[in-house]
Amino acid sequence: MRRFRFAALAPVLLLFVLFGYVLYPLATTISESVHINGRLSLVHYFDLLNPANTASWEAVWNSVYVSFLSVLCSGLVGVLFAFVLTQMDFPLKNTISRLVVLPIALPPLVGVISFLFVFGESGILPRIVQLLIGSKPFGLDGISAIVVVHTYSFYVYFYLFVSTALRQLDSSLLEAASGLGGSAWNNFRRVILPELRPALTAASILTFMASMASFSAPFLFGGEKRFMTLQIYSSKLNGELSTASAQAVGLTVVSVAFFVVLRMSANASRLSRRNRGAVKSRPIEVGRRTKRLLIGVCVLTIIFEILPLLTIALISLAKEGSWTWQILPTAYTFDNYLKLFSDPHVFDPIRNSLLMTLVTLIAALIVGVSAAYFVTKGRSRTSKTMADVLVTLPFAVPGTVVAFSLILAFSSPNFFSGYKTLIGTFWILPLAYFVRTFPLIVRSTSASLEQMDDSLMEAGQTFGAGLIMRFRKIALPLILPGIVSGSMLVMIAALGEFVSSILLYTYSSRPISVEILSQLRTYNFGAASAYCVFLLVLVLTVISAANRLLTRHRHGDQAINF
Amino acid sequence: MINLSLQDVSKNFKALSVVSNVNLEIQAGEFFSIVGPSGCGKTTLLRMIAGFESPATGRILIGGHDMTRIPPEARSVGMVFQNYALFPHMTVFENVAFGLQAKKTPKKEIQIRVENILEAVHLTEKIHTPVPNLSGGEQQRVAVARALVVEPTVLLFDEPLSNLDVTLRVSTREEIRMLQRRTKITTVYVTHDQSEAMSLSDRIAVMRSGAIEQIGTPSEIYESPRSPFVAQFLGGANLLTGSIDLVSNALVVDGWKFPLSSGLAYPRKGPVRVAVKPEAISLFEYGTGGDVDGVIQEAEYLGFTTNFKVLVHGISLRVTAMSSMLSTRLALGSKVGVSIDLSRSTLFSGD
Repeated sequence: MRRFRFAALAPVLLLFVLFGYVLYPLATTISESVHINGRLSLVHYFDLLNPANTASWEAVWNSVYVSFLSVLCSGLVGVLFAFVLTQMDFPLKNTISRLVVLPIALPPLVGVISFLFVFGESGILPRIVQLLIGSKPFGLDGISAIVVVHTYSFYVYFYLFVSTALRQLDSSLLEAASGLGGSAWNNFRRVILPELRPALTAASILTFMASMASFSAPFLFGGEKRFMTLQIYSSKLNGELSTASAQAVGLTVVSVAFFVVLRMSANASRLSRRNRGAVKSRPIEVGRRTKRLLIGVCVLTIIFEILPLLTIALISLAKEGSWTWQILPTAYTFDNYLKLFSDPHVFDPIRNSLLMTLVTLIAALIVGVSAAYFVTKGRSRTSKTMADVLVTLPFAVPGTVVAFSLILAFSSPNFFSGYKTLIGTFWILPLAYFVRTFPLIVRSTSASLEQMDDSLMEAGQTFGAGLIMRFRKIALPLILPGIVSGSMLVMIAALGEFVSSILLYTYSSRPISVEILSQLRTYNFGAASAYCVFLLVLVLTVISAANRLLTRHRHGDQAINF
Repeated sequence: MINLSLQDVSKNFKALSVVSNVNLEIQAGEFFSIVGPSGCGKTTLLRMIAGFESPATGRILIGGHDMTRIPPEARSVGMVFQNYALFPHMTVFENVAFGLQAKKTPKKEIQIRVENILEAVHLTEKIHTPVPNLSGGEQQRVAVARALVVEPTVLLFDEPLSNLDVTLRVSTREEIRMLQRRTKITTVYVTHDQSEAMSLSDRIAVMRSGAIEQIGTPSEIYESPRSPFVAQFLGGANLLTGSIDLVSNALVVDGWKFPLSSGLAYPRKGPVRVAVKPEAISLFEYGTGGDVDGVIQEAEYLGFTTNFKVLVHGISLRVTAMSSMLSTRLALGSKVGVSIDLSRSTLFSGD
């Protein structure tokens, strides 16, 4: 009697998903990009790379330019926060360190819109300034607006990576350096900076990739300017599928290249961090004046960050038509919120988003957990490495490309779509969400699985516990933190997803994000804001529920009973 | 009654043979140890008994039933893992009760049996403590209790004491021995520590490169090792290579002659190897006795005994002597007389 092996099922499922919904759509895209009228040809690439094609080059230049600026600004803000919050003590520290990670929970579209309301050309701040001095001195627009929004969304990467590195910084290194007579500046340059380099590199690459793939900010702030993601979108809208394919392949190649560098540098830094036991960490000494200055800058930045959120909450209460040329809305009402649930037409997008998130979560859990099991506990090393790389591939592919490749792959019935046309249906959206988010569950779950000793399951076996009991009573409680935090990230991403949705939705399957955009287009700022606030509340609920689950689990050792 | 039997069991990982043609018969209630250096295949053998690995050839019988292809959960085998493998998210009670719950034992009975076994391992007070809050020795005892409470047909230990400090190791091993005597569960104990195996076991199997070199009681193996390897591994014996001189009826090592006692069986011809136990070598004050002269290279005072390394004719010999006035006076570099009691040594043919 051969016994049933879960480990044998996992790779089959994983292979099916990776091949059917990641590799096959990408291959279709590549194939589309090298064909013209059914013949093999590189003409689309020649067109794009033709020096005379200024539109194409402008898009590349703008994307790269904005991405570099975003890395620079996010780096400055993130490192500043990391430095101040790990090395200094001041009254508001706890509040600030909680607020500082908030942007990561913010759906990209919500962030963009809230900035638009405060700092945009007709935003509240420029209007106030105009009232005070008579002329409109500024108004975030174009490149500067995009960079500001990117900084707002991505500095958290720098903050998290660098503050971890700073906490691990062994202060005996600094003591040794000063003992050898190094000046403060020299110590920073020659001792601290090299220690932070892996963190800075990783955060830079992550920010660069996210900026290259960014869609919402250029879409709303870009105006006439061209960006690589927007080019794909507009080519698709114009029905130029081959051109869009070539553009998608180009953007993917750039992203994947950066992703490979990221993985390599992450592996290298992981090696150098190993075998480092408990380190003693003492604050780096800074002059009193500098300290005050730095803390001041941080507090101002946090206010600058919260302002848009407060604004969006305010505008969500604005009566329709009461905010046109005025600085602030003139009349307030709860109608926007009441309508969310009373008007079925208004509720539709909410129902869609919730359903899609649920479908995404279930699929991502099934595939993600079994993939994690295979990646960590599989027997063959080469297939494990391959699976690991393939599973993280969707991370590196921009959302616009994921959506576009799904359009190409599933616009006609085939095996992986269950012989149905998926495009134009409800299901294509959760499919795109799933492809983009299931690696999150693989990541977090395999991290917990790696820490689980194999002998625990073996011990369970010797007691006659079957597979289901072993999984439920031994493995599940131990990997639950990983599953919960992965699920949290999946839900946050799916609830506010915009980048793929905008390419895939139909009227009846429109999610919240798409509806926000259409309300904005029809100048229903109050309704748009109410959706935004609702989305924010959903996301924060998910986060706090996950946190509660995690803490209960951590302290629950005595509470578990049969 | 034979309770566990391995018949021609072999195992290889790809081209590498890790266990070859092992035959073992272990009696019901016996405490049986498998010793050998790391990499000798002893843990793989144990894992095959448990069912985590399946043998390439051969059969494994537990309680008279062929279990070769039966998964671990159906074997009625208990195991104490090297790292204990306690479930970190459970209390002591939950860990110990796990096996009984898996067998759908009534709740009341679980309560009683868990309490009894915890009393036996002196952990009654810790019954509701989460296992991560226990000390290493306590965790070890929980692991033993957890494996014992289900009353398995065979109990397996995989180097269970290697994570404990020396004093704890000795006291815990006495406790394991006592528990085993009381419960009379057939036990297979894998270790690389020969003193652990000697002190615990009814019988020992010495393994080397995947094969069993010798099976016997501790004294059988110690007193009459069947191979130079066994003599060295279990007795820490000195291995001397030489030949037999029939004229003077002596063993010649590097021109150094030793009279052969009549009781010793030895080959008539060719090179021989002699395993000489450290305690079969006697030291004398220089000029007062001994067959040959030597120089003290190292002295390690252990209280009751002293370990020496003595250089004789270019060969370094390990010597264990009872500490005495003499042994305390033997400083490094001092000369001594050396004699060997060959009647307590073992001769092997040289090839």
